[in-house]
Amino acid sequence: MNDITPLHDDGLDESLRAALLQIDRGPELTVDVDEVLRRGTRHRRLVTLERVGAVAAVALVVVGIGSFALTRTSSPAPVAPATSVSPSVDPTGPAVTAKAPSMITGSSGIYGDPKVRRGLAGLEISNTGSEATTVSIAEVTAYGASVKAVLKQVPPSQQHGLTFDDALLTSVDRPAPTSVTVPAGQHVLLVMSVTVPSCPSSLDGVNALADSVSSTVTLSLRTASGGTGTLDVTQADGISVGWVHTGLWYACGFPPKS
Amino acid sequence: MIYEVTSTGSSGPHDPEQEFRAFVASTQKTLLRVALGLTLDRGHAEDLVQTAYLRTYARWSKLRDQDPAAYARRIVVNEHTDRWRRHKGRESLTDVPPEAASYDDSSGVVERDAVLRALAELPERERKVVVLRYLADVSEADTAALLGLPIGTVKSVTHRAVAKLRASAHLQIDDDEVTS
Repeated sequence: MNDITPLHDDGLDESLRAALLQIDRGPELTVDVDEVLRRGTRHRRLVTLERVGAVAAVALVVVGIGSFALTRTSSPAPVAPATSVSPSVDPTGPAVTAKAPSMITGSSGIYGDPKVRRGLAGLEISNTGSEATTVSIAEVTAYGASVKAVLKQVPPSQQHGLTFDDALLTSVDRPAPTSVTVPAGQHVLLVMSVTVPSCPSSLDGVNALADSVSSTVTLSLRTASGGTGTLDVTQADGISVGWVHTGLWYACGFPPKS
Repeated sequence: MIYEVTSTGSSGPHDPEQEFRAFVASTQKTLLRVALGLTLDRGHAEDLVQTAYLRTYARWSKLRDQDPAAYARRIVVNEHTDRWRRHKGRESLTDVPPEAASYDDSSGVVERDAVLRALAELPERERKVVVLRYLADVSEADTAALLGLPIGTVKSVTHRAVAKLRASAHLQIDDDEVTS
């Protein structure tokens, strides 16, 4: 547990170094170790959950289920409460009748292709309101890797099953609508893909890579009657935390062995 | 995929918490120095180091037998780079005061601010290289690996940065008395 091994390999300018080390003067900077321990424990739990989720996904493939079920009625478990929807009423719309959007996040799937070093995550967004709601991607932030997010209309014929495969991965690069209107009771799929410039040779390396990659997606919602809101997908169900790790595992060819 | 919060135990044959506290105690001075050199801001530096320790602790069981200090340092650099990219053009991440004349010389703040001002004059890449090489004693090879640069580039960037720092009006460099 050494700190940093001094390696003056190219002749450091020692007088300059002495001058720069004056940066240590003045009131000491501090680190709240107790806070680190508290938050670190919570973070470790999240990572554990991500891995459990990834193993569960592989198990599904192993037993021959090639698709994730995206159903309205049979997948209530992963649904997160729509607490991050911030209802407000558009002042330009009919104030009396405007209804706030009601969208919840549902099933998600993760896929990756090491040939192109890309990982993919899909997240079902369901319209639980009573009227059609237009969903658009308000903001995508990403750092550490290239991340794309698109919305995919889920046709009624595919409401009960959608395959996470190369086709879906490739579809992220095709032109996609900037907003999708989702009828009441139906779904839209948010698809995010991450491309890494190069993959480490070990799972540890991939985990370290994932630690430096992050993304968030904020969706803008607007009901037919003019109600507006936002849905922060990161806050909605943790997929943005989870998919980066598992997505990169797949992208780099390290799906966990079940 | 279902995300469900479950609790995990934390006890074990070792005392990872105590190990981690010892690790923080032995590395925080260097790490804070690096973070301050990169961010030029006390608050951001402390926040950056806190984040680095947080991520290090989250992977402590694997890192404890490797080189957790290098891992934490890498997090500091990467996090700083991310923040710098996100805030570039929007705000200046520095609390270096425009003038330092009002400080009490005995507090050391004047000297610290002089260093921060000198570092602030460097472009981002030069500052990173100087901070890693001079404030953290990271080797050229490790600096190159950490920043994703060829070693030759690290050498040339260091050379340029050193020349600029030596010419900086802020730094008092005593070529006769070298302290380590």
